[in-house]
Amino acid sequence: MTLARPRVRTLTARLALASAGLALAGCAAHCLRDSDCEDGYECRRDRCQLVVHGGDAGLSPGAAGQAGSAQLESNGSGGGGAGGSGTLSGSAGVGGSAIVTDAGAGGSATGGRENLDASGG
Amino acid sequence: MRRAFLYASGTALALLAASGEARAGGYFSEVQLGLATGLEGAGTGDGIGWQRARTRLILGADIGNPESGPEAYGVRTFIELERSLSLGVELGYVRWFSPRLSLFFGGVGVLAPRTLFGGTAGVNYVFPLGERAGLALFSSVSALPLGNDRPGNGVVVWGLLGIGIRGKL
Repeated sequence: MTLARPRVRTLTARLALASAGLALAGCAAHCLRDSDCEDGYECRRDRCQLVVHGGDAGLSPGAAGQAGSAQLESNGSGGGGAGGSGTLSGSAGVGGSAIVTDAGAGGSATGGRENLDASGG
Repeated sequence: MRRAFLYASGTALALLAASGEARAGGYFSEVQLGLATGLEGAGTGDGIGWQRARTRLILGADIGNPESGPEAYGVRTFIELERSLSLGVELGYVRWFSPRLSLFFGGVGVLAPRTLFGGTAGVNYVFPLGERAGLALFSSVSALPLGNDRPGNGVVVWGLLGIGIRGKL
């Protein structure tokens, strides 16, 4: 028992150091499991991405029929996603699919539009 | 989240009841309650990503027959407490190499709200605190290549370190 406490402290300290080291080195992933992300997001390439299906994204009915699905990627907690979906409703009407990637922490509708990559269908 | 708590409570009660019945039936059983964390890794598509593993509360029991020697079956149920609450379970074979040191080999699964399944191996060392209790230090390595909580089709790996209280029933 007298030996146990120092060992526990040492192991705990090493673990904390390893975690801090990962974070400082920028090596820590933003997510590794889908459940690391908020509801409605999925973990793809260690980033939480909002997967929006055509009907849910507020696309016009005609466009939604052709658009299939759209993906939004955001590091933020949903701000970028909201902006992105607004952009999609106007721009994806040509059909096909659209992917908006917004790496900023608080994306706006304008930012989303600038990054829009839409393929016509 | 509430459902995960209900599952966890039910599983914990079943575990304790099974331990009590095992003891009454001539088997021995030991129960352990602990807290663990460590590192979690997974393929991200751009290599392997790492992050601190979610802290988890683990309730486990080893149930064996004295006639079968230093062998037992182990059940551990755990609740991941961070990010999203989730419930998991481990089932496996336990072998003691000394009264203090045991190894665990078995399967591990996260059952709710999303799923992960794989294998795990762990080591447990107990510092006695009296006749029927002890302070347990444990470590485990797990690989989980199945389930719907993985990034793409990658494998999630855990390296965990924990501490707990162990008691004989």
